[in-house]
Amino acid sequence: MSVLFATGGPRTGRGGLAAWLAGLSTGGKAAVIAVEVVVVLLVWQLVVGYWGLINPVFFPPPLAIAQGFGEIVANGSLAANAAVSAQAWLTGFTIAVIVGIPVGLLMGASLPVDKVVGPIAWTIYATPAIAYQPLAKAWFGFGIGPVIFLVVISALFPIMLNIAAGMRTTSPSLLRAARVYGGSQLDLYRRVFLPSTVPFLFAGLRQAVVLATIGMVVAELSGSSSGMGALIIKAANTYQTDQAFAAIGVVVCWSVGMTGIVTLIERRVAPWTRKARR
Amino acid sequence: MTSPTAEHDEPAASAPLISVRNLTVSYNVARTGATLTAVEGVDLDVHEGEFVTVLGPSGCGKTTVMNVVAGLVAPTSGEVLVDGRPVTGPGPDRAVVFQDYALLPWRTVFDNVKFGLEMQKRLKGDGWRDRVQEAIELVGLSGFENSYPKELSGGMQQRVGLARAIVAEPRILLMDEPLGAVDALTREVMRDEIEKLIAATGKTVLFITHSIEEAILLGDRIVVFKSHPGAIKEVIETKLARPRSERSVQSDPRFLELRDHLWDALQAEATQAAVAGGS
Repeated sequence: MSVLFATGGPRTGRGGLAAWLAGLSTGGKAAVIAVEVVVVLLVWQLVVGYWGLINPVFFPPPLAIAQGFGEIVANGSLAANAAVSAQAWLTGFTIAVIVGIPVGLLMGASLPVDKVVGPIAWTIYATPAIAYQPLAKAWFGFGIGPVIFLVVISALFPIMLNIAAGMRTTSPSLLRAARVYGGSQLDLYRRVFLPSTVPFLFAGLRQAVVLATIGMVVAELSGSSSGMGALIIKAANTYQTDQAFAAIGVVVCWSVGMTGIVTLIERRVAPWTRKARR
Repeated sequence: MTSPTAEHDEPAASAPLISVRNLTVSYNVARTGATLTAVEGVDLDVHEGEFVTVLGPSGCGKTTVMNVVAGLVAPTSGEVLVDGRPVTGPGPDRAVVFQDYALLPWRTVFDNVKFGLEMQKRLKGDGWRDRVQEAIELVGLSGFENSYPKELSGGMQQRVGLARAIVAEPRILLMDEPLGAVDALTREVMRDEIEKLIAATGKTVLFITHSIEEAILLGDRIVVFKSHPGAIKEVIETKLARPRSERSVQSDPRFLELRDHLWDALQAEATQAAVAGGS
């Protein structure tokens, strides 16, 4: 039996820095990233803040941004605007998930549905969200409505189209195996099509998180009195670029954080998708 | 086409378990609109407990014949009888081991092995758990019950495929180049294991291969296919004593005789195929 263990694929040869990085433990990798961040911040602080090579109004140094972050926390504008944004984002994302998953499954399962819905979905997906922004104001007014609309329209299609693609690329050989053992049509969908679509669902969700955040900020940038986008614009318009950068940083953290949550959920519900790190 | 099994000296009293009668399968190629004949006029009887290997160049339609027996492909003309009844679809009396393993990547070894029973709605009571566990032990995968297929080597994955087929307790085991995708060393080990396993369970086997050694080592009879169109070229009885093993058989004069004969037959086929393919 031991002979069987020697049959795995050969490791690809690597040398130098790549090998050193690949060999690091999880903690070691985190340390490398931490050092990288500190170095970038330090250079940035020196170039802008200490040597004054760039006008800090255009590109404030890290310490000024930290100060700006302290200001928007202290005056309550961050909490108020973040709450509005989070509400719009979560509402829009939930709608996109609720609509996108079943429609994507239908598109993947039925060629007629795919032929009808597909071209429309791809057209809307291919249009930059910012193009819908003026229309969204006209349709939904100046409150949270247009923000939710842009989040939905940004997040819906990556979810829908990824799921449809996942259904369609289900391995014919797995379907054949299910049929050989007498699997019914329902068995094929429940036991083969759906599970093999799961990795595509999560890929779609990760794209959707990023695009939804872009849609949200775009919707809030003009004609909106609240939300993170409004906070960024107000701060920039009053030359408080440190506060604007602090607000942008919060949006980035939100986007990265939500992507991380999606990945955590994926590892929990679909452990087989976890690729071996090379 | 006359049956080339005339010299077959199996007692004629028992009806064959698998009976392929004048089978022709043609496909319509959607892209060109042409009709492609995969196999033509195939006659073959397989008796209960027999191990029949099907040998031929790739593209000779041997897999098509197996797919018809499995119930995955419908005959264009002719018919396939299993236990006297025409095949109209897959059934619990037949199980297939696939060349590409066809394991569900999201299921552990244990859950993959139970897949056949699950599709056949046979997961009632507790007995099935023991049977799944037994099958896993039989193919030598104890301790890997909770591994995912991608964590296993090709040979181990095919062991899972084998366990999944065996646990469904079919009368007929259809094996479609099961060792075609595993490495050479593992292939030799697994040939011997399959030989032992089948001898122990007494299953009727239709085993497709393009390896001459494999066909001789495993088969009671070897069905040689020719291509363009796919049809049976000849049927040979191996007449080698069992149990066989890779080592004991390789020095047997009968093995060498068969190997030379099959080699000549296949080479003539391959040359013809190359000419036909080039025209």
